[in-house]
Amino acid sequence: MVLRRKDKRRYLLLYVNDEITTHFQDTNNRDKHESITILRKRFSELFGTIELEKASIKVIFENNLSSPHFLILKCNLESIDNMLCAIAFTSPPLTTIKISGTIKKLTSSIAIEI
Amino acid sequence: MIGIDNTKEYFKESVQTHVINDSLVLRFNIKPKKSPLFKYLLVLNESETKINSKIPFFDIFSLNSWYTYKIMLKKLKKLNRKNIGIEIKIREIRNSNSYEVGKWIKSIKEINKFCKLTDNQLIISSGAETNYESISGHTFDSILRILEIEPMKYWNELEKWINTRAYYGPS
Repeated sequence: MVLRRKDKRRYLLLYVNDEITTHFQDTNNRDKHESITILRKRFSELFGTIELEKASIKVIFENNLSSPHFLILKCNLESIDNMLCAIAFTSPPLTTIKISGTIKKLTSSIAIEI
Repeated sequence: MIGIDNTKEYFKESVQTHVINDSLVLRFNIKPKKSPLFKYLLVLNESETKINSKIPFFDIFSLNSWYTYKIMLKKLKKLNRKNIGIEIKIREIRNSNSYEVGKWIKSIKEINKFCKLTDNQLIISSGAETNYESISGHTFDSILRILEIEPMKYWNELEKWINTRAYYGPS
């Protein structure tokens, strides 16, 4: 039996709504931080703090993300359903554009869309 | 499958019309006088009408709030219309606080049970009014799993329901 050392992760490409970005017109990614705060709060309210920690939501900042509206998040595969629900039930809305197992695939898809 | 509320442009034929003809379903509040080029459904909103025996023909009944759903279901049961769709919009849930989201989840489960018992169809829609409010299929599947509804079964039933219910031109 092989012991799996790492949990499986999924990377999510999100579109951050104008409502958030207009409130936080700052080049230091404050708008993105704000959207993460809102998302984490919603997640913990809906599924509890234990599930929030299990999901281990992390923000990935990529240098080649030219648009301030795009955001990449990382979370555990096991918590993907809870995560997507929390995203869908977040106000102001966050839109899930793509889910991928690797960050490379995700960033390549942004390059096409931009 | 996409349901569109803003329908003015879909009365005129365009180059893409034949391509997307069956994948698009229009939503009307009242029966159109002129036949649109696409299939359509008549939607009745909870806030716009009172349910009584004189209520006009409709395909979908759209619920707005979790605290009135029991009364609405009782009225719909009394009305005894078969094979209608009962719609819940994620947009309404998104604007609620977490306590209300929990109530919504519970109410959707009960509405689903009601639909199964009365041969009606539960419809969970994004209710999107802008592009960034739209919800992906993967997210819908996750929401359905949270609601303890098997996604594949739900989509098959919904597709079947739309095919039997949506029509071209006034019936």
